[in-house]
Amino acid sequence: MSDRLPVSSISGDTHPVTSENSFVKSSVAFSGWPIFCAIFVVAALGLWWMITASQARVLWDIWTGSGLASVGILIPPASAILIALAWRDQEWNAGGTWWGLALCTFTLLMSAFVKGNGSPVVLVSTVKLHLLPMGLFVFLYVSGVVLLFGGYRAYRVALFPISLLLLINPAPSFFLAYVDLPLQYIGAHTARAFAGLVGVSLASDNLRLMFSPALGMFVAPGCNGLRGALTMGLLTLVVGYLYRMPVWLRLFYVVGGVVLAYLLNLVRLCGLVLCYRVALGFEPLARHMEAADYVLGSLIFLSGAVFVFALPRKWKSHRKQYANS
Amino acid sequence: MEKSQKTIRKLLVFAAVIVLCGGVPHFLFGRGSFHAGYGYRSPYALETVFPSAIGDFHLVNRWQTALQEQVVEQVAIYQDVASNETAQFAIYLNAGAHNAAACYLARGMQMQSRRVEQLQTADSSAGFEIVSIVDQSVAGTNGASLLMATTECSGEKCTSRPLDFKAGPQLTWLKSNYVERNVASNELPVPLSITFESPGNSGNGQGQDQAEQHFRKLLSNFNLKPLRDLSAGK
Repeated sequence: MSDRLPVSSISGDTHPVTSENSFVKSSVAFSGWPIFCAIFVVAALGLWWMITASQARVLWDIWTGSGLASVGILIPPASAILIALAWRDQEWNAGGTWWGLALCTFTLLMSAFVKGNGSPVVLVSTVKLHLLPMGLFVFLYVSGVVLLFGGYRAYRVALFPISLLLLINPAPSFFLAYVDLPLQYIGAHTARAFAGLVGVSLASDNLRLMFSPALGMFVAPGCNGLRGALTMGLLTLVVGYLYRMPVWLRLFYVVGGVVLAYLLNLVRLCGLVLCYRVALGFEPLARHMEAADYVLGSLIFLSGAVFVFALPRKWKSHRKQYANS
Repeated sequence: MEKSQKTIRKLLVFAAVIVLCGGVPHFLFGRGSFHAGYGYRSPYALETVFPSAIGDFHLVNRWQTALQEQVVEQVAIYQDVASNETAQFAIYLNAGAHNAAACYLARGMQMQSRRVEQLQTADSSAGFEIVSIVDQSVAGTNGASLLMATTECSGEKCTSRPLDFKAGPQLTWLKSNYVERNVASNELPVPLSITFESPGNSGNGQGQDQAEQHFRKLLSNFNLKPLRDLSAGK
């Protein structure tokens, strides 16, 4: 068997492997699907043993329980898809390096040490900052596997999607305490100030309604805009990467997207105050205020996203024009 | 062929490393469980936790909301006979620690004062953190005294969990996560928050004192035992 077999070994097709073949194809070509699957299974088993079922449960609860961190559930599939895309047009001699095994061993041993001795944490009042978060372990382990079986080039090409795994918990507790909470204050005060501006009296009776499910302006956690801002940040990160924007421009793009999403949320809060003002005197509308919030939020976020995603397309066409001229 | 064999050799070494460095610690230090490890508590019936009357206060409304997959919020609103004073009781199940005062403050309300106090309830003495909140009525009239009292019940007692600590940063080793610690001791904290609203002039010391007096009286008739039982999983 040569290093570059026809694809027939996979699909029954007798066409030879061309220069457009993917890493997956070349992996298969040199070793066949069974070995590729075996690598995947062994690596997945190692990952499962490393993070353990209880830690997986904690991560699952973070994803499904926290509106802010729920976007993290998209990180693993997004990373996998982007890795596949990154390797699609690449071709290299899949050699791999034993340094990958060293990295995997180090990561697994570190994980074992943490299981036995505890995880190093910096405590500031009641806020925990994990020095070795789960995302770091997953990132190092996957890096090791790719280096071991794919080599430096495969790793370099897929570095960004692999790095995304660092964000599997996009809103750790220190972030919630030091970024989310102050922004909640700003969001709540903006809504209150706007309510005062449009003449909505937030007397104590109205305040009490705020905390009942029937009616009220309930500026809940997540209304501070960080949920949208975090999602926008991750999306711009991925879009900037897909459009191959230079790093400095990507940085501006991501920061701009986050700030825009946050500002748009303040607009949404003020819009919601207006809706509540109308609903206070119109009972049938009051019953649908939660839906109104979702509709208003979705429309504002969607329009912001359309604007933000049009920018790299514009940048790319400008660059093409400039190159042609 | 040679490359294929090389990959197989590499895979075998990798598998051996996985078993030794991943599998052995996994079985040595405990595997945990995806399903059973969370210590889920089914909520008691609302009438068990929130009776139809607490002292002079009668029940206005009580409800239960499933906030997410496992967290359940149970709330009840009580009013005095004259409907002047209102108290809202809320517990959060399966949420771990939850200081409701922090949520109120996060929503833009300003704290006037804060202290930790041991208060007498119907069945026991319990530690409460009491936060006095400034009435932020834009109109500036009919300002009310707003008190938030929070406590956290375990199987044995209910104690306050202060909003924050003033200690500086410290490095520590976290043996296991919060949930696992509580599952190990077979207890899940049940946080209770009480919002007490009394009419009067905001910032008026006399009105504030009267509100606190009425709040204490209300609390002296409230039973914390169901919350402790809930925490202990009885």
